[in-house]
Amino acid sequence: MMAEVIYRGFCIIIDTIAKLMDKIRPGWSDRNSSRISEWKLMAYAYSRSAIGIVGGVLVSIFVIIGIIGPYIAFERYNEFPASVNPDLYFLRPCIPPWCDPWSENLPLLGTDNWGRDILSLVLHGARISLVISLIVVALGVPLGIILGLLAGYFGGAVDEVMMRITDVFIAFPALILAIAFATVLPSRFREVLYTNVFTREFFLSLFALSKEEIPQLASLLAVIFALVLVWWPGYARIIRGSVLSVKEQAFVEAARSLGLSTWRVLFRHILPNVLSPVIVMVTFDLGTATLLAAALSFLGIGPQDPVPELGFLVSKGREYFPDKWWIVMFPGIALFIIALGWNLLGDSLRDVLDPKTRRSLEFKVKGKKQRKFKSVKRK
Amino acid sequence: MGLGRFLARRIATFIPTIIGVIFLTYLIAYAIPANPVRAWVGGEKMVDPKLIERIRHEYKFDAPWYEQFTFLFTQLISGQLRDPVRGKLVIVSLGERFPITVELALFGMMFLLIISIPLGIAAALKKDTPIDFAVRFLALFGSSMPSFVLYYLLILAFFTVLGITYLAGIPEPSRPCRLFVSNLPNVVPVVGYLGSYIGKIPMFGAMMCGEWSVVHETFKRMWLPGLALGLLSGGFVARILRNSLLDALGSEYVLFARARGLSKFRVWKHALKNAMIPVVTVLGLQFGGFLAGAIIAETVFGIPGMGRYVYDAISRLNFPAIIGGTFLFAIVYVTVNLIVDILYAVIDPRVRY
Repeated sequence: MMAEVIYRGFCIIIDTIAKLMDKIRPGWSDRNSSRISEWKLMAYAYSRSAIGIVGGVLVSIFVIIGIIGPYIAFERYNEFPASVNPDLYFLRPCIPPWCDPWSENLPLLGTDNWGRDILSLVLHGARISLVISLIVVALGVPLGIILGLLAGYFGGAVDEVMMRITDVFIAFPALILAIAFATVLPSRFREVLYTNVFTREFFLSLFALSKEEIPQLASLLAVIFALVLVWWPGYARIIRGSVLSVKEQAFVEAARSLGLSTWRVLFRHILPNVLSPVIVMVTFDLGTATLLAAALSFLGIGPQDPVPELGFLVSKGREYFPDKWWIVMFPGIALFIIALGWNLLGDSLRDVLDPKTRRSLEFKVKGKKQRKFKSVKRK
Repeated sequence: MGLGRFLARRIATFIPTIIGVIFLTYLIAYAIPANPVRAWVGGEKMVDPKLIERIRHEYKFDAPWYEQFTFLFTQLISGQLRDPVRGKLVIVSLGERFPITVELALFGMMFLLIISIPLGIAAALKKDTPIDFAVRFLALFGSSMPSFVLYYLLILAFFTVLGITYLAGIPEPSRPCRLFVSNLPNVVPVVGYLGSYIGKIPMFGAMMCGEWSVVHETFKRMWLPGLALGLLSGGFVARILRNSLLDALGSEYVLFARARGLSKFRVWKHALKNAMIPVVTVLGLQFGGFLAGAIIAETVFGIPGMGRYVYDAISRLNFPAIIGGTFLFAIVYVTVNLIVDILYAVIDPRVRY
């Protein structure tokens, strides 16, 4: 039932896209009918995988909270209620089945050493984690893809030099290299942030931080760029490997002999054919980047007080652990759920995007009842 | 390509990698910080200008970049980098702590094997049963759980609530016990520290001295960190073993063995031997990962190893120690990967590239 609704929803979206493309380029959906039916088959395969739906739900909740979280949090992270009312130190969490937060007037997830509400901090922390993971992947992956494409396509000296550079980056354990970069980068970023008003305002609003946090913002950016520098080599290696096998195929030869420019061959003919494993990897990596950024903050390299980065909240809570366990546990559980969502989604996307499992599913479905994954007929 | 040529090529790429590692370390130490001298003397704190002057001269900040690079190169290779907080050579401090990190990684490895091998085999033989799903769940759990949160959960469960474990510190044997006392560390620092330290790993040292109470103490303290490390990557390794065993069971030589009427266990044994090849690689890489990941485990469990040293260096902004630690971690990691690659080529005759 649920699966059917999701499948229908995807179908509507796909049909709308097809109609829009038809408006822009008449005859598009007729020429691409096989592609549209393939998309529908993917939507069907996704809607039948339970873990995919759970992952999708978790990820959507996380993204929504990441967008609106700082605005629905009922306390700002830089207000310290305990300085006004000392009773608010370390209030216990009050979770509904055992305790009624409304009648007892207690915070849902407890408060920290400054009386800040943990739930508000976690809501804001989700925004920070979301932005970090998105920027890391949005910068690191294209960088890796482009370098991998160039190395694989041109071969020879270009390839050798690039792969040796990649080897050097891979030689460091990711966490250690990120630590090293993140300790030295903040000084550079602070210069930029103090001089460049536009950059400062842009990133402050991106993380929903207030103006006093510029040094912390510099550390946050340092964490992000340290992770970008750690992230690209893996992609460069994988893309290079796939390019090596794709570039020998006849269609590349044909494109080249038609006199297409190198860039066109690279980006229009080779890139689409090496991209599908990357989509799955990106999904997993959004989770991994969140965890690695949190690990850096946990070690005290990222932003400091009062920025509510989830890893940093955990590391602050450990002074009071295990008496005040909630300061460690709730941000930790939030991190777990975020990473779990991305991993579940990636797990199902791996099956959905794999043509082999998709085909077998198609045969299975066709055997049961006559379902056709066809595009809308338009006359 | 023969095995000899493969080894030669693999080792030939090892050397430029090390030079590249040093160059990257140089960039981190000298080129990237906006004010490197400030970073080296301890960050933004107010510092004596005389000290800044001294550091500027001592670490060649007034020299051109190639002199700085050769300076750092010789310092790192000969292990002369000095930690200004403790006044000790960085490599000596790290060398003292390295065996403890190895001990932690060995405990992690032990639990990893205990968890992953039986689960992987069971999941392959009972495909699509609850065991298979449990393995899948464990793999997901391990890759989604922030390691430090899992460590705190385990501490909460086993230390606070159940009270059946001890935390912090490493029991050491009362006197130094080594199998072979050698001067190797002074001749070839890195290789020496890696090679002749078996007796310095506290538990092995205690075993060699016959101090079994120390061994017992070690187990009482280290089983929880080991279990934590094993849990985090156990599911992942089990999944790989499952997939590779399923591939092996579907292959033609297994069909042939069955057709010859071999018993079930004999057939599984044949398949398992081949299925273990990729798993050995993954296990080796995991061992390298444990050494590197020790920085978080050691911080949480209070184990005075190499990672803890780097953590302390970070919190005190002890820059030479961070640089030396980064470099040494990279060397260890690269060496472990090299050994894994060679092992892989040796045990699997099909791999020669």
